[in-house]
Amino acid sequence: MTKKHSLRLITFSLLSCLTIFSQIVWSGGTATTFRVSKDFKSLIIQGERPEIVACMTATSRYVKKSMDYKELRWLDSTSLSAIFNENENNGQLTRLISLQAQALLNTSNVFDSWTPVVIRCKQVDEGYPEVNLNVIGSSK
Amino acid sequence: MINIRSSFAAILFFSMMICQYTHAATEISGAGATFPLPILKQWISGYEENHSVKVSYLGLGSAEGIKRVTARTVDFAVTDIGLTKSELSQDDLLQFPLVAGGITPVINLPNVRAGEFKLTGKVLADIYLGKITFWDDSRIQSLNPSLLLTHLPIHVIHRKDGSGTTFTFSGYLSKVSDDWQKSLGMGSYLRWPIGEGQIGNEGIAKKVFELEGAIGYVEYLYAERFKLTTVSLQNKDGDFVIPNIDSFRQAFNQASWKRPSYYESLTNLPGSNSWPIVAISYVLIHRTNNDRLEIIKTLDFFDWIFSGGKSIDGGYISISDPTLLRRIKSSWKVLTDSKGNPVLK
Repeated sequence: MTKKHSLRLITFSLLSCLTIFSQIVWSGGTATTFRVSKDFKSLIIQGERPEIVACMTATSRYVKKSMDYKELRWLDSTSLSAIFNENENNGQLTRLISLQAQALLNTSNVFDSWTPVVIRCKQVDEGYPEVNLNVIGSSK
Repeated sequence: MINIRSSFAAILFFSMMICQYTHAATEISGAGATFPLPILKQWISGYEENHSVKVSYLGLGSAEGIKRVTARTVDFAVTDIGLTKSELSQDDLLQFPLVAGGITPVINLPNVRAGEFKLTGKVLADIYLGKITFWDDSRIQSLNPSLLLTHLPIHVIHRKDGSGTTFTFSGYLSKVSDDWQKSLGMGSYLRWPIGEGQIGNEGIAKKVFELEGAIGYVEYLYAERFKLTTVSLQNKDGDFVIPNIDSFRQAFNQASWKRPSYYESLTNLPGSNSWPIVAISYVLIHRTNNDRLEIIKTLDFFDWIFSGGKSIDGGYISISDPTLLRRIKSSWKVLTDSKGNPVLK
């Protein structure tokens, strides 16, 4: 093996290591899911909690239209860690759902990174949930 | 030789066609909640006695029922996790109420008789949160001054499958305990802080029956069948009530049925004898693209139930209000077959 070949091999190995390392760092260290379903039926068949699926579906639609976020992904723990509550006042039923996920922010940065977000849905009676999505720790 | 083979093949082909046709016409299948399973079994046997249709129902939990009907692997689902109109429309489903009943905490404590042991919702939530771990805890003892409670650890039993019984039970705990509302909320699956998971109402009933010091929650008929000790639970008015058909009915009668989905929340309702944890089992069927024969048979089965085909056991409340029944049956007119034609005229 010539000196030139060795140099190429070392450079290639370094680049491979850098790629793998960056993937580990940018994944945020959190267990993420490969569950990519976004519509109601697929999420139900996927086995998500039925009572939170309307909020998940509405969030996916919200992100698609949003200028602030490029993409959203659910965590393995999203379904189990969700907090769902409902109460009825004067005959009006209100459901409040809180979910955790990760989103790619719509920034001009060269490297995208997945940021933890919290989603809050409010569903009144028979209507579709209203979505409020915030980066965890932001005051928005 | 060829003729014999051809004839045999033709006979085989037609036999298969006939088998397929008769299967489609004579068998319907459902899956879902275990909460109404005892009464569904009675209904199914009563219906099959008088009709040439086989009805199969798998009690796999409400969440699994919703999943299976969504995937169209069953003709209908029964669920205690009621869906709202917007959820139903996204899943091409029609929902209507089938039956209601009470969910009761059950305990296995020596020398304690049914209805004798008192609990408040807050204390029940603290037991399930792991904040009260022994039966002789001062908060339990103060509710039961006449009982001599032993220093026995509390074994919390809960469901591990996606359950409508859990959905209603945790919904009640959310309404009576701020700690529960903030940390766990209401759900078909929960991140239980303590306890042991069991599958189905029967799984919980069996475990509580076997294990001294255990507490669980089941549909009332399971408590009766397993001869489990039920508790007297404090309701919204502050009265301690025992689980029975009268206390379930007082809560059930407050349902307004005003929503198109018929969704009702019947936990922690007022009334001096109102049992605070009452659940409704709903039927889910597809609105469109139905197999004509199977959906007609499915509707006939539910029509037979609503017509009082067979009287039901003590623990359940049937849907018998004529106005409500007319509304339910009228809603079936929107169902269509695979060609988009209405299945009912």
